[in-house]
Amino acid sequence: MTDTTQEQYLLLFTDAPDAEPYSQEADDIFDWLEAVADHRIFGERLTGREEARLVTKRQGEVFVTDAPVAEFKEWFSGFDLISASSRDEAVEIGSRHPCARFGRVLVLPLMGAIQSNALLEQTVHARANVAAEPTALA
Amino acid sequence: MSDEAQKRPFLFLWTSDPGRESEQPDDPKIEDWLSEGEAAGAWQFGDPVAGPGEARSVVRRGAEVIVTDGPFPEFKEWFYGFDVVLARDIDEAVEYASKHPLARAGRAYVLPTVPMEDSN
Repeated sequence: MTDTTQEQYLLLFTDAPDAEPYSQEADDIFDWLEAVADHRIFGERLTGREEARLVTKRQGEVFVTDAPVAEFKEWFSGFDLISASSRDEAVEIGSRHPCARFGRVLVLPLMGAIQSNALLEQTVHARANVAAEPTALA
Repeated sequence: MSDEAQKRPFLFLWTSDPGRESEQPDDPKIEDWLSEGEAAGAWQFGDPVAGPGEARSVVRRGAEVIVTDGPFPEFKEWFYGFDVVLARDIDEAVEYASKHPLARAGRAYVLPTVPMEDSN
């Protein structure tokens, strides 16, 4: 069970030019998932750049760019929403993720402004039941 | 299987943009965007992100963990926040993102997810 009295962080995983090449044998993601189960709220892998879109609206018109180039050179490979008692703990959790070796981990503190913790907890539980009870999300 | 169950998560990453426009009075309010998305079963959760000076970059190279304090020179723009949204396909996700006030006052990266069980 997630302790929602803690701070929340977005871990954003990206490629990195100096990273260890990816190897499935060295990918210990399932060990990480087990080790940080008390901290991890939600997370997914992301597709390659080709399937992504950049969306802007300028002078009333919507512009959609296929396969956008990120603001920096690397691309996003996944993300996790975690809770931690401090930024140092969030950094420590991120450092053990395989993407710290195969890429880079951005640790982004969240402001807690939009989503109340109680509501987040509720939606995460609803999300876990999405296949069984899709209406729970509404 | 219901229609709803075929939706998959998308990550919206909002960032600043040099071509951003100031918000206009008739732009949708974030609260309206959220409640519309919640009612449609699309919006799941999201939050603003702290400024670049609060962020850390973490890599492990060999046995060494290297932590770098933000701001990061390679990021000329910075994240405003993120949302996790359920949609049937990228077009539906893009359409919802385009209604957010930050589509005008910034930019949205709409990123499809890969289910963990499909990527092993």
